[in-house]
Amino acid sequence: MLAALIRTNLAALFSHLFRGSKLKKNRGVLFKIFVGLLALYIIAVFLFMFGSTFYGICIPLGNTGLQWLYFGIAAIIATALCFIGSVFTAKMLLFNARDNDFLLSMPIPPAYILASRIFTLLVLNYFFELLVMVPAGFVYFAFFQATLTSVVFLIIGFLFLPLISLTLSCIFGWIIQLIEARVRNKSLITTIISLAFLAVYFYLYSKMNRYLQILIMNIVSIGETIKSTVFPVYHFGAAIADGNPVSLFLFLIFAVVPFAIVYMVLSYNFIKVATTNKGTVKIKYTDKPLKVSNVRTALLKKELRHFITNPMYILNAALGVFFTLTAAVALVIYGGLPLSVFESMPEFARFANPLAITALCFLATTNIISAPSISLEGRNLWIPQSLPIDGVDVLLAKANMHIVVCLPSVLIAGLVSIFVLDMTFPQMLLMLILPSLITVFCALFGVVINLHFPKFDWVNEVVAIKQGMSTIIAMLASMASVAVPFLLYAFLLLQYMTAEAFMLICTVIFAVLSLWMFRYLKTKGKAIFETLG
Amino acid sequence: MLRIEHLTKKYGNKTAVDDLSLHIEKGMIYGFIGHNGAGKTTTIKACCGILQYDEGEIYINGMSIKEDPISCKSILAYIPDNPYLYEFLSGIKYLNFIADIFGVPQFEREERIKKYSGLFELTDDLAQPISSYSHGMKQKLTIISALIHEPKLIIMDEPFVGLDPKATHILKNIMREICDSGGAIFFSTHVLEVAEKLCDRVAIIKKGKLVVSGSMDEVKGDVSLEDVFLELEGGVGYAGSVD
Repeated sequence: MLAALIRTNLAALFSHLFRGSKLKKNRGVLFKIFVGLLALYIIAVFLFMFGSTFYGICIPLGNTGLQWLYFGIAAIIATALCFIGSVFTAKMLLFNARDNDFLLSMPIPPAYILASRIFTLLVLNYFFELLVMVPAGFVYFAFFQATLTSVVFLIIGFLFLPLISLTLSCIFGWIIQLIEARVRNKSLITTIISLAFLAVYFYLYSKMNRYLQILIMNIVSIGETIKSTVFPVYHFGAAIADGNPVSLFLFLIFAVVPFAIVYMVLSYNFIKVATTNKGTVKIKYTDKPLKVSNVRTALLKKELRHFITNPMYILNAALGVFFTLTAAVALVIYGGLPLSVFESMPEFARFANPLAITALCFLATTNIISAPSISLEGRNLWIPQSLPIDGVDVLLAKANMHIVVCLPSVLIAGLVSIFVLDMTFPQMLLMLILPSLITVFCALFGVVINLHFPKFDWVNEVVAIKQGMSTIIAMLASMASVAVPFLLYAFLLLQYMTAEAFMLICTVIFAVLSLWMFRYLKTKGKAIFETLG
Repeated sequence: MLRIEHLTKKYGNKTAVDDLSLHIEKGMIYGFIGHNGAGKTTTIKACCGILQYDEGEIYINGMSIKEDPISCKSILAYIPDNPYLYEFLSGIKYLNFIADIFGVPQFEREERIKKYSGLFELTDDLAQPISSYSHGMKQKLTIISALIHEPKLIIMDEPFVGLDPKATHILKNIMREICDSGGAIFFSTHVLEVAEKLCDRVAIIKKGKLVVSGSMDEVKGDVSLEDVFLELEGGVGYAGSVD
């Protein structure tokens, strides 16, 4: 019974990407190959990133006899990655699963349901942990001799380390759930918490090199502090590096006991947690005048409402907006400081402002709001299809939503750049027009690509947002739309024309492509939409 | 009001609806009956312009749903078998959205929302997100949204599923009122007792083909509609008795 539950949960977690698409078979195979290559690329990037980090600290720590700290740092990074990667999945799987009622109605002990979900999270954590511990192990054993005890203890440590992050994920998931149950605007709270997590992640990531430098400079004192305060980290490292069975035993106690307590508490409360109405505050309707809108405004308002009420939509499809605004704020604070690098290369100084324009263009391509917007209609597709509205209005409302959400941040960053950086008039125009046009291009491209690769068979909207083929294509193609011209100019055309002239050509090309897609939506796109479903 | 002429719809090799012709006149409640998978929902979706068909033609108030879908849809309302709605909207925002699409003036929409949400006892819940609604509440909201623009033709797929007895009674009264004031209703149902009492005419479909159609008296004669339906379906296939 437990095995069947685990199989179902694992299948649900990992098979969304490949399952049930109405794509033709050959296209499905190509899609799998494409996604597989993409996954391999992302895994390789992580392995390289962590590998180079461990390469930087392995020798200094080894030479000072603090090998345990090497594995201790690996444990901290792995736990942090597992926690960030699984905390929201933990919340969804443990507390918001849609099949709770169904499973509880069957003769299955609640503890089994919980165990199957936690096991699924454990598998997810192993995946994240592999990204850290594989390069950590390889780098270490490349420099230091591997003993059988070290390898065996590393494997045991690897198997039990995720219990720590799992314990933290379960507790934080529960806390987030409790907070959400007590507020009216759940999506806002989830968005803020998610953004806070991301901000912490990016902050730590940006400071990682500095922290490693500090660590290397103060190895002994930091080692002593960790040894005396963060016991599990010390014992994890000591078990592997020194082959110390007592440390291994103590680490296992630190990993297993808190997890067992959390599991028992959750198991004891599972039915209550899974079946209680999550305490939504009831809002009683009071009669007030209704706002009247025309069809296009009504459709746009509906799309915007969908966007702002789904934190996962915001976080996965519109992070570029936050990055763009952060860049604008950074520009106000630091001025043109990042571009001062060109002072040491005066022959390239003329590219400083074009690079700033390119950077903003690139940020504009990181938003993919319109790409899953048709898929998100899902089972509601009957509504726009049965209403007396032109299909093109529905499609353009989705593109307009993308533009309305993204364009203000692009214009703000553009205006800040104009004021902060010393630009010529043509550069100012390009700074405002080209990123704006790319925003429009990405908006229309997302809708066009989603028309051809819709995914309506999702159970949770996150699947349509994160795992639809249209999202993957839109993400890569949008970035390529800036990266390819950039490389083309840098390696081929630099000597033949100025950056501004090349950008003007790009502006015309993006305008023509956008116009073509607009016309496509009005003709073929509209016809395709009417036959979807 | 609704004329279906030689409608044929195929899914691959399977013919879901086969040369179906029906005529629903003004003032008529027309019941559409058939076993699961008989082709009722396919027919209904084709009539509402949300499913392309292979052969035949469908006219709504004299206009072809294929040639002029927007004009046709502006005078009809569709209530699907499953009330999937925009769960991110509140009930009132959904109704206002539908009113915006149909261009219902502010005063009329406010009056109608007040009237129908009061009738279906949904007024207090209109500010709640639809995601918090029960199945029955979603069904009621779908019905209210269908009535908000005073359609001339309402096409409904199993409209009574999920409704409580009071709401069922109210819906039946509303259906009769609409038809008495010149509208028409075409609906599918498995509740034969309701169809028998409510419908002016009825059509029975089996494996995509029309088996029988006509006024209720013509179709059922002296026996019940259930008896007619079961006979056409080839008997109950169950030896026990419900009496």
